[in-house]
Amino acid sequence: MSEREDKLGCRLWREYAARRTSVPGGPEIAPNLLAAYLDGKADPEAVERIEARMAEDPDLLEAVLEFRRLQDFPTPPAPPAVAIRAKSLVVPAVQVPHAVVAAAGRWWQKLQWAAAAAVIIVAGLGGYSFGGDTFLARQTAEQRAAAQVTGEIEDLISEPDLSVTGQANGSPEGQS
Amino acid sequence: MDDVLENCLRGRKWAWDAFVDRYAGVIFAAVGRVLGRGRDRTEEAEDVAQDVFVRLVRNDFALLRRYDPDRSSITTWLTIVSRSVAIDHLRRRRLQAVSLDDAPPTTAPPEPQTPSTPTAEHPMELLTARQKLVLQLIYDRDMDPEAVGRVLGISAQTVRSTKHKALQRLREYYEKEGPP
Repeated sequence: MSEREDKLGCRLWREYAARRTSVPGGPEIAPNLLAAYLDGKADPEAVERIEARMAEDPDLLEAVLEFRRLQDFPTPPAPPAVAIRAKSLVVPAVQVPHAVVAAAGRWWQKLQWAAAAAVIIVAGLGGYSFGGDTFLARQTAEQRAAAQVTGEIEDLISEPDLSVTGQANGSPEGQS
Repeated sequence: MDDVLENCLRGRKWAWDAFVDRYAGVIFAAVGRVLGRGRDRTEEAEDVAQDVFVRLVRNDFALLRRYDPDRSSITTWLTIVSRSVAIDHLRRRRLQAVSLDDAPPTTAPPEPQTPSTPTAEHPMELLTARQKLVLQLIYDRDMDPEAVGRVLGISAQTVRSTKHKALQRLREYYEKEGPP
């Protein structure tokens, strides 16, 4: 194309660009779809949709241009701090050897039995202790009550009722 | 999906370390491209690159799991994701700058832009999206057909033919409507 033709072409484009109405953006282009377009793996329909968006959205066009510029140069290595910090995001899972796990399992089983036995013994001792205390306390209370009743009877036997005696025998004043 | 990526998603530390070694450069370069150059920018780019890695591993590698190996290479996908995170970062930085400064009083919304010649709205189908893009890249960005072809993933010959058809359509349109 000659220079003159190209200038005319440029004029036509500028006129069109100045007068064309912009199209609303539409939904965001998903990273997977844009990546497919950039790698030449998007289907024709997706290509059309993305290019229509690029023609109206300077940010998307800039993203594509930037990506192509990045492709033109070899990727320089990142500063070491970037990798060090990034690696710290994932911590190693604790790897326990199988033999240790099996041994721990056996010990754990034994420990469970021991714990169960301990619970039974403690419960038994506790029950005996609590029950014994209760029995002794009850026995003591009963003994005390019995003793009190006995004491009262003995008191009644040993101490004559003076008032009754007085009425039966007559008072000394009455005799005199 | 390659072995490293697969084991990464299983939470294997060695795989994650290998992933970082392999792609830290790609992520850092994509972020740096958005933020620009300079000593301060390098530190900022390191932080934003870390943010990209955080987003990749967060919620049991939820973002990394979205990568589809059948549709693109991991490098391309990571570049897009990194760029997106860097743009988010710039937006947040601008918002913070606005909130720290005295916000200017709210002004009336701008007048809707009207075309210079109100009657001359173009039919949308006059040019295809690709034709518009080709002319835009050639005339607005001063790119040659080879460079345009690299951007759009097509041959330089296809670019030339697309340009030719586009200009022909414009010429025919303006001949009917009157010269521009």
